Amino acid sequence: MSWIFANVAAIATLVALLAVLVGISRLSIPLKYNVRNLRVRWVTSLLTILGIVLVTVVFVMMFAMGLGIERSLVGSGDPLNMIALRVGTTAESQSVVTKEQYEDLLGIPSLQRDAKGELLVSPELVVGANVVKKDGGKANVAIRGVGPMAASLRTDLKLIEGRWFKPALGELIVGVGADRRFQGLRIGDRPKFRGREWTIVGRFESGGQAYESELWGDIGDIKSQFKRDYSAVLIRCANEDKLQNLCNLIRKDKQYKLEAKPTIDYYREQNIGGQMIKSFGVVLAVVLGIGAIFGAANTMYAAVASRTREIATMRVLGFTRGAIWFSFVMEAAFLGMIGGALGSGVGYLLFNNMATGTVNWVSFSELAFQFRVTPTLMAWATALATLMGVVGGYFPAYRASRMTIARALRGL
Amino acid sequence: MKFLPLIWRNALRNRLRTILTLAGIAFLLFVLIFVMTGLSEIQAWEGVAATHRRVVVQHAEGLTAELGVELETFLKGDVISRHAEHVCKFNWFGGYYQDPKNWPPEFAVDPPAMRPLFDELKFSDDAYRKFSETKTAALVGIALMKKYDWKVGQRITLIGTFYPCNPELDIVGVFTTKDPRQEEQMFFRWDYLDELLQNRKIVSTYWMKARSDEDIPRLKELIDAHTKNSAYPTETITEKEFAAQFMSMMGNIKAIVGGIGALVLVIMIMMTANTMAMAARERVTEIAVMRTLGFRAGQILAIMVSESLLVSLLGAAIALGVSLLVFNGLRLSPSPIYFPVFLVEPKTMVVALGAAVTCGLVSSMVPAVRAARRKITDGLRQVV
Repeated sequence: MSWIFANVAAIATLVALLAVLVGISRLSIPLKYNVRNLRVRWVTSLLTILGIVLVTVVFVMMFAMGLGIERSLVGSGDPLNMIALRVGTTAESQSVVTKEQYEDLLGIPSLQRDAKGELLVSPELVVGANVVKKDGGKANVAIRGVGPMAASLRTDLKLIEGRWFKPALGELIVGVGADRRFQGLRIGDRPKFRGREWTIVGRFESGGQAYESELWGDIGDIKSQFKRDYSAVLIRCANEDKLQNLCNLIRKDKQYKLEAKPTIDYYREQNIGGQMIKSFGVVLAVVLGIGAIFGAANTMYAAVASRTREIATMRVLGFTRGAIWFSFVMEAAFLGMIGGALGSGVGYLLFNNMATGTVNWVSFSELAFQFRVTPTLMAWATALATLMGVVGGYFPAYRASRMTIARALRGL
Repeated sequence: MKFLPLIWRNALRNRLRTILTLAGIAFLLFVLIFVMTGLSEIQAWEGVAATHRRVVVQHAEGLTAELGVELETFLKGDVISRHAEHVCKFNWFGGYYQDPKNWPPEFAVDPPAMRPLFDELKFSDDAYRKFSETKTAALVGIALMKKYDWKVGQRITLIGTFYPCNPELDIVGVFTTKDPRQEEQMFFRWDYLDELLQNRKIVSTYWMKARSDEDIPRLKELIDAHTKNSAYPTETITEKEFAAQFMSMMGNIKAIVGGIGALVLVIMIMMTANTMAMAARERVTEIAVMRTLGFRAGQILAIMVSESLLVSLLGAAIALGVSLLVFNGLRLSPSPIYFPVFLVEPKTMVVALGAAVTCGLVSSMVPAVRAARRKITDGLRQVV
């Protein structure tokens, strides 16, 4: 839904820009006139602009949050990786893949191998455990058991401190996101999960992906302690066509009894939270925006009313009705644009890269993410605010352009 | 009070301006009511949960970990039964009906303990007898029955997402209760779920009713000490704490809602202040005339403040009226999956009214005080 609004805003901005060009060439009330007017009535202008600033800040905040969650989840998919899960599940943590099913998958001919000749296939197990968060309260941290191939399938994964875990010793490495959100997951800490003490030996980052919210350990250790089968199998393919063929093969062949999809799709489907927050942001922005439009309209009506004689004088001097209308719409657009630009800037300063976390509604585990105020978001926010001004100024400008000259000149 | 007609006339003097302000306030307050209702819906369970003395035993490492069926013997034994009764296995099923969008809260429970444990649910003895006798039986809340147009006796299939099975259930009865949210739930039998899962004896939580409030801390102590070194260490919490952990999972929603609420209030105040400043500017001469006629400065102040208060409260009335009609009357929800109902709470209405009053008072303060303080001679001399 959001992109519709984005497009509407884009079109409106384009129309406004065109209008400016046409205006400069054809009409001749200088823009300076409007800017000066805003300055003369500065208290009213300021109050209106501040209202628009705040609406923009709310919009930027909601979208930055949605974009942050989106980057973390959607960005976790790799176009060359495929994931095999139990039929009917949407999350690794709910899926079960037996040893037999895994071995069946290994039997698929012509799977991709790495330089050493190892199959690029990674059986993994995702489980969860409650850990106390830094801001109090508990949340579920995802614990991923992986084999030696897991890192070869994640090109963005990088150990930044300590060392990789060794099998059979109950060692774990912690993602930077999980380390940021939870207590007691620093290198050297010894958290207890399922009756065993584990040791954190390293810390990794992964380009802001969802993996950064997880703990990773040896698949053997985690399988035995959590008493589970594999939850999913990741397979890397040479190119996207091969990946699609492999998905079709696994899905259609009854022997595997597994669901297979590109990891891109798998993670996109988990982005419920991000989508919810973004659509909530759109609703908020629209309703708050309408509120702000009334404010802008109010200001512009007052501006028109107090300049009745001035407008009539301009008409007498030969400016057309169109020129008057355009001039007042531009004045309102200025109000909106200044408010939008300031609001985007304030939103950027307040929220960009702010680190927080929420629950991943599909896996029920904690997802650490950072607010993202992108230049595109700031541009849209400013465009929307300008639109608010234009809409708010439309009718007052119309009233200004319809005045009867004689009566306006005589009026007080 | 006798100035009410004057205040009303003043408000209507510039109709367009008043209507614009009113509409702005109504829209902004609607946003406030909307976000606060979202928050109160998320927290609703916590509120009702506190009243039932129910205690939940879950795995110490959280809901994703399972408990053993062995624990039941201990929970039903002498030590615990002195402090609690009606021990019930309780698994959230999390399946959907026909379409992943139809995702009602479904719980697998033990029939004997279910009725006394959830004694706020009202259903017939006949329905309960069938629930106890039929393995595939389901008891369904009345709102859920209406939503999917189900009939008693109908057989429905739930598609499991969390558990790898699709139970086929026979609806044997309908329950009603005070809380409309609970009427969106359904219950079926744990032993049937277990059968579908090849008797793997997965218990996600045990629920029970404490005999008195004093027994609750004792229960926590006894149960958690008993399981401390077992394969399933537990955490025993009240239903309220159980509900609260979902809030905690979502992160800092309260701060976000609070922040949006505060911003909305500020926007509202600025908008109304702008209107009132314009009104005051127009009336300088007139106020001076009124002062000459004997109106006191305090009265002028009161009249102006009342005017913005009147406009704000009218805006609040519109916003409240519309949201009560849409959410409580027509029962519309912005997201039927996550909010089966979206009810505006009395608390929310009070906050909305409070915001309107604050807006009315604060926004008119500066212009009203300035108007009241202006010297009569200055006012009379000024040309508007």
